[in-house]
Amino acid sequence: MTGWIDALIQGVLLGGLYALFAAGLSLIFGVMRLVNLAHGDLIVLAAFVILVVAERLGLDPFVAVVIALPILFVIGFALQYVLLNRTLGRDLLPPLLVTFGLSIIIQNGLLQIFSADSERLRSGAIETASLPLGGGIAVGVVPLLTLLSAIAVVVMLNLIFYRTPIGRAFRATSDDLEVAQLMGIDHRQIFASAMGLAFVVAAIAALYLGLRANFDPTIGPARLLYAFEAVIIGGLGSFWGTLAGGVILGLAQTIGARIDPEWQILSGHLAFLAVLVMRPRGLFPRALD
Amino acid sequence: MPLLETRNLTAFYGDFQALYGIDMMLDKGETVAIIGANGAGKSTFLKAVAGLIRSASDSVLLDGAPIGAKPAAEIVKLGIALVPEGRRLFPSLTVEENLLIGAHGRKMQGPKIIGPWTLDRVYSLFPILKERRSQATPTLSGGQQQMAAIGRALMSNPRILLCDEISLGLAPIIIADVYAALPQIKAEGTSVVLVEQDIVQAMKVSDRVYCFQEGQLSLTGRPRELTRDQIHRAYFGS
Amino acid sequence: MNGGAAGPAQSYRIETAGRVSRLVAVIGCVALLGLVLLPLFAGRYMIQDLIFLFYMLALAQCWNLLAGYTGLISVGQQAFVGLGGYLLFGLTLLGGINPLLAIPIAGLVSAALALPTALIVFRLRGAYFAIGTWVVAEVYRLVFAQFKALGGGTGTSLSPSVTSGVPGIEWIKAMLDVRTPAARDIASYWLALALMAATVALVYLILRSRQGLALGAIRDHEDAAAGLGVDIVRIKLVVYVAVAAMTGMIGALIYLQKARISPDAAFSVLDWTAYVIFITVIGGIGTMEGPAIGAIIFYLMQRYLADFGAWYLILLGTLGILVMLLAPKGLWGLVAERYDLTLFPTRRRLVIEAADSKRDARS
Repeated sequence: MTGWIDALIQGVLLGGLYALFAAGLSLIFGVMRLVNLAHGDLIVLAAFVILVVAERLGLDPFVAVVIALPILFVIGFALQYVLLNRTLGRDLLPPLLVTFGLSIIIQNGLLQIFSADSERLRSGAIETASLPLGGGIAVGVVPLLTLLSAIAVVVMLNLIFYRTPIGRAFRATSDDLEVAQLMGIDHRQIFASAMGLAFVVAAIAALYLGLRANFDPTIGPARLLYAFEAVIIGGLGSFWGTLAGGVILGLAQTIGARIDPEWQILSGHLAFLAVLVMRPRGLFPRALD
Repeated sequence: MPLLETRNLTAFYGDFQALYGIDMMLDKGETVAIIGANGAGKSTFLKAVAGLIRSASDSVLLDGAPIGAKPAAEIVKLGIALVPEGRRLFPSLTVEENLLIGAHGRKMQGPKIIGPWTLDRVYSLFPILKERRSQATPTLSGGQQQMAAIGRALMSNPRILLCDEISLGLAPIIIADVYAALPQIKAEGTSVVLVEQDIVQAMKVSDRVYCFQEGQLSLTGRPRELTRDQIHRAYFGS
Repeated sequence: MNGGAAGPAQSYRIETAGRVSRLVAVIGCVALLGLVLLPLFAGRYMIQDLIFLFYMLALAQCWNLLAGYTGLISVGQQAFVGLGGYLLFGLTLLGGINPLLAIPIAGLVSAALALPTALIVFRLRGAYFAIGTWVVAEVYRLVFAQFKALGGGTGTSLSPSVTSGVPGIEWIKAMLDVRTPAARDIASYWLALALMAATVALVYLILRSRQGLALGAIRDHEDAAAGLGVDIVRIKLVVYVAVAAMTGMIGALIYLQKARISPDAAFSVLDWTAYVIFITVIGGIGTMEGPAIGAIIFYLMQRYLADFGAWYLILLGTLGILVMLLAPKGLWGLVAERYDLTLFPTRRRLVIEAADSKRDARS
């Protein structure tokens, strides 16, 4: 019995990580209808940036990520402004294929620079610390922080979107690009800001990715799939929905792993397909896509 | 010098030519109406002036300066605001947010919005909007949406307000309500260009009228001086 | 005005083949004959290289039909390549079926599995459809990795009895005086050539059919096409299933030739999707000539640059991005526009015959 309860708790906590992966994807799609096939690789890139900052400056990853955040915002802003803005338009193919090409470039660029060795973000004692919950069950501090961070990110994104001028601009641009221009909104800057913000969220995701497990340049695509699944399960248009989607995916994986450890990832995929068949718009859709 | 002038303004949708060299003038404080049948190019004209459709740089002049090639986001900062056809309010924004975003362009220019149109001033012009300030815009009636759209455009403190078919789909009594706002807008010094299907309304409020037919100007003059026959011919062609 | 006078009579016809394409058809037949006879004089490396070229070209034509014409941008076609490969291994190793027969069976089974797959992924649109197909491919990979009978996660190899079981190998050995491995390659070569030719022919026939005309309409403007009564869902389904069948057969052939399979290789996104997309985009998406050109270019790049490892892939990615942004119609698109060329006539032109002058109107 405790095994199942443990699986449930682990699933929810894992869901926090997946929600962090997914939040950036959800944000970008919400604002500019762009699905970034390089999203997973960008999270891995962010993890390497944090690693380099941490090692070079001798900092703990939790501090390094704070320094990495503005760096990653700028990278994201520039990437969108210089490259990805050119792909947006009525045609589906360019953004898809350009981000796909980007994914390959990032993976192999990282391979060239860092080699295929596994890396890890080290933070000392906190990595193995856990909080006992009684009944023989304990939760890891890092997974718990991951979930709490995911919730904090969702709260922050909702704050930005619904209570700030730039959030207003995000929503207006997403609603009607032409009329947004009539308001004096420079959509190229808005899109670039949104991408920069997505990179910041990706950096936070990368922190917990790197603390939790080993990472190497090739693990990006799998993260993209989890992020995507979380977004679809949760439903488009709502950050809380994305969080819920992540948690459900995490639960599906840990429950599947409980049945057979080799089935962990497959269970997640199957749960995703099941939601897709039964509720194509996701469980908590909001957007009028 | 006229406030706004177009010289030989042409516009294309892909290979299709929608405007064939329009010459138009608007003096400061004037209200100009543009009439014409569907597809005559009236909306296209407004979009070209507002920068949604690019044209030759010197085909649109604001205070003598060429703005034809500038994008819409820049043109609104120069003081030309468009109330688009069909209102096109932002469904994800509340009424108040729609108004606030209208000021986005102006806000970016300086620390304070310069000009008479503030949120309170727009609410005093359209009190019903204040009542519904926190509502999502799709819940508003047609007339209320039109008022919101006009208010949104006013929030950028435009020197020139372009209105595209603001009477479309509205009952006559609502149209009167909407048009009742026009004198106050003009009193604040805004010049207005109105595209109107409702010829009677257009003639009532404007100082001069332009008639479009198949992308070209077919008639221009002062409402009092134009005969019904003239307008009929200009509208429908011979 | 003249009252009641009829205008001059005009007749018209719909033409697809122009003069250039008729010439090209003749050249094509000659070239095909040459390719068939090639093993008589070519060395083993050339034959192996051509096998690779043929199946990559076939995969590219398939992907092009799916994405360039039908608008179904899938990044999950590796699902059917791997499926075809595993079906070949399963049918021959476990079922004792002759490999030559296993290939078409693989195609049929792929088509059968493509139906439920389509019903699921068709619920998604655009980029989400793309990722959805990727997820499905991952499911296939993970499922096959569970099949201990076929090697599980590490995979397995074909036994010599299977690889030599392709009918005609003894005949090849005798006729061309070669040893078994070379004969195997030659047999694979002819199979690959046949499969490629069949794929190109099938794609061409689909595009020239009424369905093909509908595809053009769907690609250009889906809503308008729907308004005209084009049954979009049905056409997309038919194309998806047909492409899955072809891809499955190609996958079976690929792994017959490689004689070794593993889940990671068979369902590799890089080999069966990234490279295929690259070929199609560089060559020219939405045309039949494009993938052919792209395949040749890709083959040359693989041959001479693949040793550069990660740099090579970075180059491919960068090239793909540049072409997509600067020359979205690919290399063939640039050439075709400049010289107004079509080698595979799939577009229809209206040709108006001269007016019948005897019936000119007179007042």
